[in-house]
Amino acid sequence: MIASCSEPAASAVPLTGRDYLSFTSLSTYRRCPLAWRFRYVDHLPEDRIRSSLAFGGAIHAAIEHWFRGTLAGELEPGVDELLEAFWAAWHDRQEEAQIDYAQGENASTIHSLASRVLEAFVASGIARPAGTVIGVEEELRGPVIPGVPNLLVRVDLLVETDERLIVVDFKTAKCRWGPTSAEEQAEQLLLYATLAKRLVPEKSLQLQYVVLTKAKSPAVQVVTVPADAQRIDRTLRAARNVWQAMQAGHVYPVPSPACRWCPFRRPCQNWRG
Amino acid sequence: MLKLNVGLSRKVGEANYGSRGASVHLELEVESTLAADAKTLQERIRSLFRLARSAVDEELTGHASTGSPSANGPSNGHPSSGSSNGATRPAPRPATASQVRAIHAIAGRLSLDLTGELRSRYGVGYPEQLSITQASELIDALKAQPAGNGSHR
Repeated sequence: MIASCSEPAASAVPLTGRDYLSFTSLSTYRRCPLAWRFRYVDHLPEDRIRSSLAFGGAIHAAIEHWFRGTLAGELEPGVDELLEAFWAAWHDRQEEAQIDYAQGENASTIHSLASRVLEAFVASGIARPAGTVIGVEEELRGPVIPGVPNLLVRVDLLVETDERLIVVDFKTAKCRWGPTSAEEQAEQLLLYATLAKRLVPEKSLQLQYVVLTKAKSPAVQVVTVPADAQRIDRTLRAARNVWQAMQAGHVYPVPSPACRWCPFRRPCQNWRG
Repeated sequence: MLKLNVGLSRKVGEANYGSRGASVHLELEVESTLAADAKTLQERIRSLFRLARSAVDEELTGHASTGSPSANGPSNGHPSSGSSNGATRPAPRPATASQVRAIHAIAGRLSLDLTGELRSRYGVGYPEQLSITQASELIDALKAQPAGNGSHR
């Protein structure tokens, strides 16, 4: 049984200014509590972003454009139209922060890669899933853990079939996921599952990552995560503990190779504990 | 005159797989000269969304009046904002925000009298009052209609 405390939403507002917890907030804290504090408590500006993150976000925007259009009965957009959506999202991001290209990257190589990835997506079965699309970038919110503020998630794609609800999250990656990747990444979809289940409680859930590889010949890989009840419970308990640590103000830096891309390098160096 | 039309829907989950939702649609006429002033126009739109967000939040936190046509209640066609469809009364889940958006998009493209269509098919006035299944049915039905074949406004 998970312990509870009263009015979790009320206790979240003074801490972060929000009355909910997002998956991103939870995962940021687990990666580096100090980075979480800079982003969610101190609201420090983030003036730099890795190109890989901007790329993933822009591919998401293009895929969202595809599914919103097909859900609304529009003609399937061509890759050129998807690229327009990609670049619109990229430029929006660029207005917020400087995008740091990796070595050898430039706008032309990004365009070429995005084009290949989107062509692979359009040609794949996932672009025309069997079943009925009921959610595209669907925001779900609700209480999932007693004593913890409402969880807010944004699900990339929800597809309903006669037997199940398929919860899909798109990822871009340098290469195909290995056998352990689904396990390592499972928690995101397991948290999504707790809210998605409420949409169609009578049906079973199927949790899928769709991995689009950023390769010369991109692959579209479907990786299924078992919606295991025990694993979901473990994930919820971990989220509760993270929330309690957030509330208690436990912040500290977690040095890692990712620090060189962190937008909070300077405040981190100046942090005195 | 320009017409700004914004809509916002939100659902919150409740215990035992329950949920409740609320939505609001606002329409405002503004000077057509605003079309040439993108920044001000954008600010007006943002302001409308802020208003809509505030109204929806208020609805969902229980300060709303019962019977508002903008809220999803536990049973389709019988709005009852702020009420819960929890364990004691399982009910169809309201249409997702994506479905509502798609219905508006298709109806707009077909120049359809959406309210009339909803009333005649399901006895409701807003797509937010449909269940997920009904919304899927309606989307399929509307997509099958050729453009200009609907009841025009």
